[in-house]
Amino acid sequence: MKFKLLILSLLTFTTLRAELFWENIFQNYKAGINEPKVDFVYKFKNIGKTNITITKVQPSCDCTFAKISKTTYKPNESGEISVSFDMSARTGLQKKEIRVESTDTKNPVITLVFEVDIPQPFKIVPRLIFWTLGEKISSKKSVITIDKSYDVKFELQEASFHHFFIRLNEIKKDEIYELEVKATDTSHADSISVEIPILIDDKPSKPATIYIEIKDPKQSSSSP
Amino acid sequence: MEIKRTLIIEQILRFGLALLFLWAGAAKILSPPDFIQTIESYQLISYSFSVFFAYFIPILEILCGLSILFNKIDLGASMTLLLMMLFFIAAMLQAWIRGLDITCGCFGKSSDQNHSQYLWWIIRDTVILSALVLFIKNRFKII
Amino acid sequence: MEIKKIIFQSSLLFCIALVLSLVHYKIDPHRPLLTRTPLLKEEIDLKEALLLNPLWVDSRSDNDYFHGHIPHALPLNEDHWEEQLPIIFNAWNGTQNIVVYCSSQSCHTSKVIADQMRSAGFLNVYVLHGGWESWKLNGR
Repeated sequence: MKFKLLILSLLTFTTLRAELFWENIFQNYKAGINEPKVDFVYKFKNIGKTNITITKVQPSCDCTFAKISKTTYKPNESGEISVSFDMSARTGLQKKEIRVESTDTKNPVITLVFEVDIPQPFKIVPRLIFWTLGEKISSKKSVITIDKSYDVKFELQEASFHHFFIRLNEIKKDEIYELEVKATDTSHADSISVEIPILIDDKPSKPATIYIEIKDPKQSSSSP
Repeated sequence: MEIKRTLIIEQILRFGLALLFLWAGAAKILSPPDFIQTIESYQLISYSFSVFFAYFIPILEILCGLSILFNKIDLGASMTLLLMMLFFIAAMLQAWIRGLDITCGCFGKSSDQNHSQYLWWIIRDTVILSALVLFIKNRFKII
Repeated sequence: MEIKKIIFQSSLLFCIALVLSLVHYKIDPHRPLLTRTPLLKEEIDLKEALLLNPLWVDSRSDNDYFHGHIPHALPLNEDHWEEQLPIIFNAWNGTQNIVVYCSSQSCHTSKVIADQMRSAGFLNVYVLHGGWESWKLNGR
């Protein structure tokens, strides 16, 4: 008797359920160089007995755009959420989420996840170089490390901008470079950005930008 | 006929509630750090107590679920769960009133989102509370 | 009679749960400490941060920043890193302390942004313990 009632309870709960079955809630992707965006598709099916309405689809950042063609799905009907991730300003492993709210009685909130590995062929540390007003004239250096799986060439050897002199020195062929920046005059506040043209695997790539300033330590910061 | 109907309702509620709390306890017991973070986000108790309750509550839920399922010390178990649900609802209400974000914060703090989520949680827990009250009333003829 | 029964049975369940939870805690290889670890070197609470008169950096999304932020805070997030970085570099005077915040203590974005800022060349970068939530909870 008790066993029958257990089955009855389970059946009661199951017949009232509305449930979405997701094919995949986690996806990953390895991006190529300068790839601007990647698209993912999350497929689902209504395996419940009643209609399900998707009430909200919310990505975790402005870099992710999600769209769905309609909101209500009948039993046995399939659908999908298309997601587009803007990679343009990013490097390294990126993990983003999309929260989906629905009238699913078992899981009213589902988090879809994707991971994208965005290549970083080289790294410049630091990208911001500065002196304070009146500081002794000197050279400051940034270290550029190259990922060996890429062929990276910088199209800059030496250059002069305002009161700054810049030189690229090779420390270890195709692996480590040093960007030497020398301020020739620190008596006036100054600010420049320098774009270094780059070839990656013999193709022109987005230039690397470094920022150089002579700062006034008495300046109070303010929002733009 | 009436007695039979009452017995059927009691048994359905017994199994339903037992399974629910067994599942709830099992889900929490698998990841204490996540549950600690959830408890902390209500900002009601200190970190040490959050750690304590993160280990204590899931086990209590499982024990109460088993008690109800096997009809042993189920009066104490039902009343314990009733008190627990009242406390959870009260905690959620205070978090809602204070505007606390009890999720990971990954999705920003859109007030629409928080409101609809709180409302859903409170409705859900109230339904469970009502089922408990009905079970206690049917089973033990009290309340 | 019923009340005595309820108290007895509940107490029994509590005691068993207490013992089992202590055992679970003891045998859990990943158990956390019972006291919170001290603030990481880079973390700072609101009271200390205010004493520094820092440059505030908001690492939340532009939408959250638009809906409210610490006065004079500048936005810096991964979505608009390249546009926002030079603005912050320009606003920073080279010596001022910097405090980065995101929405709440559970949000890790501020730590990520703070790491990236140090790597970029900023000095004296801290992370606000409790984030934007701690600012609001302190009645600001």
